[in-house]
Amino acid sequence: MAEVNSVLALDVGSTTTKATLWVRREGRLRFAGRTDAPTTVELPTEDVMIGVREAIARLEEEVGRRLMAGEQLVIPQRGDEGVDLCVVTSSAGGGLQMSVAGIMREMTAESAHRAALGAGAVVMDVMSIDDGRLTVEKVRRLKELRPDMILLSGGTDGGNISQVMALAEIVSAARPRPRFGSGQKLPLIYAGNVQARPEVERILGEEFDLRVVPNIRPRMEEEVLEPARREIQRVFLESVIAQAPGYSELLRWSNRTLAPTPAAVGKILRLWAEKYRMNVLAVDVGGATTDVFSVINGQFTRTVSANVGMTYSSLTTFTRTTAENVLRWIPFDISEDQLRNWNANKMIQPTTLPQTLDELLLEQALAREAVQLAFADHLELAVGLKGIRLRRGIADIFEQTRTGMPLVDLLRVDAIVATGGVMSHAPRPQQALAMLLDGIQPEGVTELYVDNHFMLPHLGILAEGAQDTALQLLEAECLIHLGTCIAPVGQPRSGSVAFSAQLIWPEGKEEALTVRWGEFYRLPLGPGEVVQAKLRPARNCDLGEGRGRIVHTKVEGGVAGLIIDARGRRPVPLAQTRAERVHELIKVMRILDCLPEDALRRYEEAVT
Amino acid sequence: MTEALPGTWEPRVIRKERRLPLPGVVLVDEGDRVQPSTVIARTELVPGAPHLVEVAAELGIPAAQAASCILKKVGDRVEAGEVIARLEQPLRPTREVRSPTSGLVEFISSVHGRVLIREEMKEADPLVMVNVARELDIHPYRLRWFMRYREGDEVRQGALLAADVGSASFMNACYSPVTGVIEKIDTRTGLVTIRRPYRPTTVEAYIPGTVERAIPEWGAVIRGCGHLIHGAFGFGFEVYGPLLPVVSSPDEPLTADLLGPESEGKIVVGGSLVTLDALRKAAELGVRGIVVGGANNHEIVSFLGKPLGAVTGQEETDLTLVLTEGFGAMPMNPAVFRLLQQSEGKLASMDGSTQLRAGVVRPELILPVDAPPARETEGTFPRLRVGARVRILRQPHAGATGTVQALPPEPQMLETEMLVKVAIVRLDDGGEVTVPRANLRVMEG
Repeated sequence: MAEVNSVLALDVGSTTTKATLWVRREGRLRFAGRTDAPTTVELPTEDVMIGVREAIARLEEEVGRRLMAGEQLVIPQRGDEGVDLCVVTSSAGGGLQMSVAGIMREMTAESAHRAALGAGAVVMDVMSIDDGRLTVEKVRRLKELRPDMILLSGGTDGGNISQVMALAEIVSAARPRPRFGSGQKLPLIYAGNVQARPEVERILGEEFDLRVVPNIRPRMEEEVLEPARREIQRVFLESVIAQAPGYSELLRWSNRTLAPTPAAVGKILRLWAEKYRMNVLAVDVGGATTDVFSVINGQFTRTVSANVGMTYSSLTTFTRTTAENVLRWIPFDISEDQLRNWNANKMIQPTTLPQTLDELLLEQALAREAVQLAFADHLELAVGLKGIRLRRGIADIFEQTRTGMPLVDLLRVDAIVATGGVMSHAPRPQQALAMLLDGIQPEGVTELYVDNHFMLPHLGILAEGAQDTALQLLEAECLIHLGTCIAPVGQPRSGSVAFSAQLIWPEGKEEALTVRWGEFYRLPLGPGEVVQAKLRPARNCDLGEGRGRIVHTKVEGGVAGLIIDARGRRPVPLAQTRAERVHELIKVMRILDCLPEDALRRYEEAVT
Repeated sequence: MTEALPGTWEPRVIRKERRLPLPGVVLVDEGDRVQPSTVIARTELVPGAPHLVEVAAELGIPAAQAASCILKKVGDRVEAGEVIARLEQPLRPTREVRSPTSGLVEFISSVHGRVLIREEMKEADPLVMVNVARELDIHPYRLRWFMRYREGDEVRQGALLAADVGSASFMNACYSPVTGVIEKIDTRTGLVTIRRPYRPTTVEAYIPGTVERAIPEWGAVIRGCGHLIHGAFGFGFEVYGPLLPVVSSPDEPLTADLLGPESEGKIVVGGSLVTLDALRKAAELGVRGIVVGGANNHEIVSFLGKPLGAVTGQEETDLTLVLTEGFGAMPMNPAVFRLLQQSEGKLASMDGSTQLRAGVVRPELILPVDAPPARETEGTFPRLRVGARVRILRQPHAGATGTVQALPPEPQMLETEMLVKVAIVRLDDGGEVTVPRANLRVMEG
């Protein structure tokens, strides 16, 4: 690819369309500006291009550069006008909506569910032979749904085909209509037992736009999701997006590089994890949903917590947690009634902003709960394959592991990324750090980042054609390094030593630390500063290599420096009384520099 | 918010498409004058439910063999009680499977030996017969011993109609294919008849006006004039009735003691808050609707008996509620309150349905006017500009109204340290405040 001097990234979201511009300066692409405008995919302005052109016009005004000639984007760049590349992500109109089916709920249906989520879809229904619904109910549900496409899996290669045929018959009986493009056949991707293909073609071939890909569970012990994911994204581009109002022009502008927003986020995270061979976890706290992504030992998983979010789903988030849980993160007095009303008003006025610190802290308290709930959901779906035969050696006799265990072990997660409005737009990045520490509660040695300006989806789609550029932008412009957290796990005894550390600076300076259980503090270590660390945990303490085992690692600083969190047991126990809890909360906020000192003092005085 | 919610309430043209869920007869013509209660269209069709007939199981044969016994093919029309599968075996009685309903054969499963029959949308004869004796493999005269319901009982689709517990590990069971009332248990034939609840579906005009356009078989478009006020949140269906303000100021709460028999059939206007007791009393008295500034979230949840979500309108209550401002004690916008007070006794229409996602629908209150508006406008989305009348949506000035004094082009830092574009607003009750533009709703252009 020729050198790209400017990139316009468009993200057509469900409420706003965002336009971001990067321009080459001093040898590399740099962030130039970002604007947004209301998305226009619904009546009365049922043309996505109206919102897109408005966002670009605002961007032109903000950066003082012409990007369009009349109604057309100038591409490639001519002099200082236009851009060399335009990339587009979309989650408008509810994003890519899919229905998936498999024979067994915990096996092929779960694999199909993972494949669809990984491709960036919102999964409307997971159907399986053993899901407990009557066949009539399954048919009716599928008929009502109107998905963008269906993923049908089932069976291992060479296995019995009758159950796959039964599933195909249910889909055929339901004959759901596509959401867009009446008169079009609904795309259906078959990723099941290869022996059943002729029968599936016979049953579904005429009524559906049938695509066949390799089986996602060729053997019970093997899950192959990538071909199905790729096909989902291809169908999304060819059949779904092409039918949505106004998108054909966007496809032309972007040279057909358009992806569902979550798929693009997943893409860039996977590339980043691959580049540094690390395990990455990311949480995207949105208005309607909270997505969690993980790349663990190269295995990518995305989950969507559909009713967990900051605006449209704020009431359902509140219903899933408790008022008491939200109140524990708030350093001032507010009654449960006031909290409930505040929360409900957040839902009905989704585009408003917190003007006071109290309001900001209420939002961030809810975000902590959203992160906790979504992460718990992720641990349920991001699991190893269930029901398979495990090979056990003599060494495993005393450790009888089960199938379907969570893939994410926080002790082995190298980096956590926070994204979504409440994280990316937090006035101080340290606030995003505090939300991550309380929401995820990292363990071992973990680097923490926040997505600046919510750029991850743009970079994911940019990576399709310019991988190196996307990764360079990711590190230089997108991710703010919040700091590194060292959090020992074990059986804490207050006051006893958790671990000792020796930190060696590049210039040779050394510092020795002794960390006791219960301590929480931070050491100054600026962005880009790297120290060698030798961490020697106590016998009852684990820092990632096992109890009592020494960890040699590099520790990189960030906005908040190096955070030592030896509060121990997860979830971190909170103080019993309200006053003690508030004091602890303020102490952590002060250490992390989350709020101005005068505000902290005000909250402190109010509680004493 | 400024672009999402029109806040103007000067009289305007209001068009409402009134449509049946299923085709029927349209009872009005173009140009007809209609009142809210005028029936626009009516249908006696009921939606066709799918019926799955387990042919293989009923004949007691392997699924693979069932296909050869099925007498119908996809697309065939069948009558209730018609034989759809037959098994003839030498020296043994012939066994038959009958259709439980009239309809079309929509699907035949060769894998499981099942037939899916889609009931026709038909006129009200919603009787469904189930051969329970055959399904349980019992003599018809023993039918009542095994029935879990009696005549007159309500039964839900999928509920266990009858069961024969043969042994600890084996049970013959028969489930209800539809929701309805048990009409007859026939111990001579072994048939159980279920009558589904039925009433003709009609669609009313909802607002007074003129039929602008008839939609054959489905309904019509009604053109009316009136003040259109969008609320922030609501629940309940479309209702109409005379307005009855029961408080004297926009910041006065609506409590149960303010409601009496005179409230029946009315749309009651409150001030800042409606209490749970008032909601319950209103429902008891037969109040059609309540328009009020706010309500406590947990009291609405207690009243409805279920948590609130971003979509409402399907609640099981006859009371419709529109909150003009939001949750909590929120004094109603004084201008709206004045308008409602002045309209005491006049007919109003309201709909509490709210949808906050994917195509925002806000609850509405319509105050019809006789005189047509000066201009043929359906309302515009006023833009934020200097001089615009605005309402502040969020703390610390939530609910306050004022006039935009300035719109500084440069972003300003808030107490939260957030850098955003703001507006300088002169409040109606004095003072000047700085507010993020995102927290303003423009009320008048």
